[in-house]
Amino acid sequence: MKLIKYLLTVFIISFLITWGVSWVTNKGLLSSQVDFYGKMNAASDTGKKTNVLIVGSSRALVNVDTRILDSVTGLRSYNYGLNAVTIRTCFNIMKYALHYQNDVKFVLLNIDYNMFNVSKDPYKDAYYYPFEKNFQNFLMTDSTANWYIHKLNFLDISLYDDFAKYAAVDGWIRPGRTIDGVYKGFYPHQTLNDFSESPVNDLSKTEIPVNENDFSILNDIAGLCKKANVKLVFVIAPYFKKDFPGNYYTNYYSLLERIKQVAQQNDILFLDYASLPMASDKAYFYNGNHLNVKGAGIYSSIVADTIRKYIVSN
Amino acid sequence: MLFNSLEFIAFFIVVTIIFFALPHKYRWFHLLAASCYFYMAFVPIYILILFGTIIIDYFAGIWIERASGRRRKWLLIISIISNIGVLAVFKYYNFFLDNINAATGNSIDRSLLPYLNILLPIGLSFHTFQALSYTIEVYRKHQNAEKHFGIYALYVMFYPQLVAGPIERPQNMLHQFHEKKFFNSDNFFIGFKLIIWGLFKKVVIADRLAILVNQVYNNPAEHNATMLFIATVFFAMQIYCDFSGYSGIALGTARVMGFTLMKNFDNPFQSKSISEFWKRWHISLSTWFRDYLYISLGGNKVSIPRWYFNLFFVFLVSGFWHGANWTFMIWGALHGFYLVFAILIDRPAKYIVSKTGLSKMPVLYNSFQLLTTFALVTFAFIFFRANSVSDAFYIVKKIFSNQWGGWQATEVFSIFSLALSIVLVIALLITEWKFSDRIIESRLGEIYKTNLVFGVVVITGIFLLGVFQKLSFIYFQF
Repeated sequence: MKLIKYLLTVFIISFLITWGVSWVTNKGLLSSQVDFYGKMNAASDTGKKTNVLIVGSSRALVNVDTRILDSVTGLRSYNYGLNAVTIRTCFNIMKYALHYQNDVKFVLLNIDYNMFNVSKDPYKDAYYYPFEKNFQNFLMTDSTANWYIHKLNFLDISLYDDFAKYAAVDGWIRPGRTIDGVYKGFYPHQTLNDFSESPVNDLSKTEIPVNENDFSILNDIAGLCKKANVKLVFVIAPYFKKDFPGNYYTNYYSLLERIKQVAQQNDILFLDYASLPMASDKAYFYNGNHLNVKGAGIYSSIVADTIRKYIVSN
Repeated sequence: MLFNSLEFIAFFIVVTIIFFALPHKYRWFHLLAASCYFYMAFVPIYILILFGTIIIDYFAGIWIERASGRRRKWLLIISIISNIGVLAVFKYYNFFLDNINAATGNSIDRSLLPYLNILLPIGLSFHTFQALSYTIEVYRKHQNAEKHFGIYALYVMFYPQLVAGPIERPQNMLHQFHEKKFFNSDNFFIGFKLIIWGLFKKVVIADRLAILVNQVYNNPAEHNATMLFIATVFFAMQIYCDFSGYSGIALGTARVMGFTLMKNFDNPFQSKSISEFWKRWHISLSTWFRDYLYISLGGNKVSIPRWYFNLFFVFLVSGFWHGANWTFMIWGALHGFYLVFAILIDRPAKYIVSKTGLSKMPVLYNSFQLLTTFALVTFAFIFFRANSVSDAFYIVKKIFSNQWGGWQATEVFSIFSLALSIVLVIALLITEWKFSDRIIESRLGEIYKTNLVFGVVVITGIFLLGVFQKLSFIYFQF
């Protein structure tokens, strides 16, 4: 009897604490306005009524100024760019945002040569999102997660990675925290430049790692947008001329061709702005891969103008 | 079937319930069948190899007991060769071939000596050593041969300790299988605490540290000395929590059914010398080597140079036991060297300690000994964990260079994870040093509130901080 009493007491108290911490963590995550959870909170905010989703890595995050896009096109845009994101997380974010945002007309996907290797995705373990108990239905998740534990919803918290735990703590401590200069997800590089680090460690000719399954996600994205009746745009943001990936990756052009083919086959607008005239002027760049706030302004105007023209002609 | 999976929890509950529901005379069969099922969850066909060695050792034991003189010795040798032979083929054959090829410049005809494309049977080194201890003990007349084939098979195959020990002795286990076990709430209570504490060490600490350790050790060139240093210290803690966590779960699952396995770890990071470390770390293996190899070589009852050789050789073999790789050999050799060196400098060291007055400052002196031992053990672990000898030397060189730098944020391990890991490791060490043994060994009703807090903290910790990626136990590969 003593044993049963002990076991019951231990498990009941443990479950209650877990449930309590889970509730507190959810609240913290729902308050977050930065990084992954901040973007997911924005995506599920139906009040935003976004027309243009900007998706991609830091080259979307710091390069596409939503203010300029909105003022030139007259649409409501939101920048869902996330640092070091891969094509899979881009797809997941699109799926999620399109579920909640019913007024989307355009999806601008910033294409990066290194996004087709999802094993390097820092968000791959961020499966959990407080709004969605069936989040797995939205996302292409990794089967290595403990399926059994996940099925027990009250134990979802055990699946949080440490990034989520930190985001929850941050959400509680600094619920209103936004990043200086941020506007509807746009996060410009205020510092003029920092070229101290080369975009690649080894400047000798190497190959871009491309996983075929990951590359095929481009077709899934095309299918998703078609189904949602949304115009998909592939865009390649400028690289500083010296750091242009074609200079040091042997398969850059062939990869580019394959992306173009996907665009042609699926009626996707393909905008290759990698070598715009501004690409030879260091004054517009923060580093080899990213524009500074000044460069982002010019680049965003070009992108916005193209969209505006597309709207007018269609 | 891993201990840190829900499949195992379900398996354990079902096996335990049936165990107590069955009459005593059928229990050995039930446990043997359950152990076969457990083993076959890994690579089913390998059960045949296990049965093969069990049959050989079973008859060897009986015949050794009956035989006398040289025949007795020959039977022991046959048993040893058959056990070591299986180990040699599955674990060391490709390694020897690699080295022969390297030494001969690949001039050997591959068709004559082809590489074997086979998986290592799980826990092979463990159950081989356990089987050997049986025939050796029978040969030494410390143990009667087991006549009941099922009980002998169960001695080798008992599922809690089948794949990663503790490497048991027949004197401790065989009689337990014959004894009638009754459900005992104290055993259940202690077993339960051993299991949850082992699981906590595995999923909350070891698997969390493994994320950083794997990332850094799999790409040492991409990380600075700070990261390599942190990963090395983390690996020392990871392997401790991983292996002692496994051992705890093994002890706990056996204890619930009323079986007592030998303790495999005794706060090894409390050691103040390398020799003390080996009395506290993987005790079942170190005592195995002591009893069956070191003493057989003459132990310390030989000339001094021979004694040093015996010590060094035993640790070299211990390294080789861990894996067919030069990294393990170097790890073992380092420990052998540490021990011999400690003996050599024992007198001068004592002289320095007394002259400097360090012996009058026990806190300082103990801390110095503790840290030195930890540093030496951790240094040797670089070779244990590195993917190759060249990687290990690269890491050593980098750590001792001036290429230190800041924390390199990784895609999977944030600075928050680092802080959390450090806090958890410190909490674990304090708990193990001060409380856990006393709490775990306490019976139902004793220090009830402390036991309640312990249970709640550990289970809540597993739920909230566990890394549920089903990472295998490190020692399963041996």
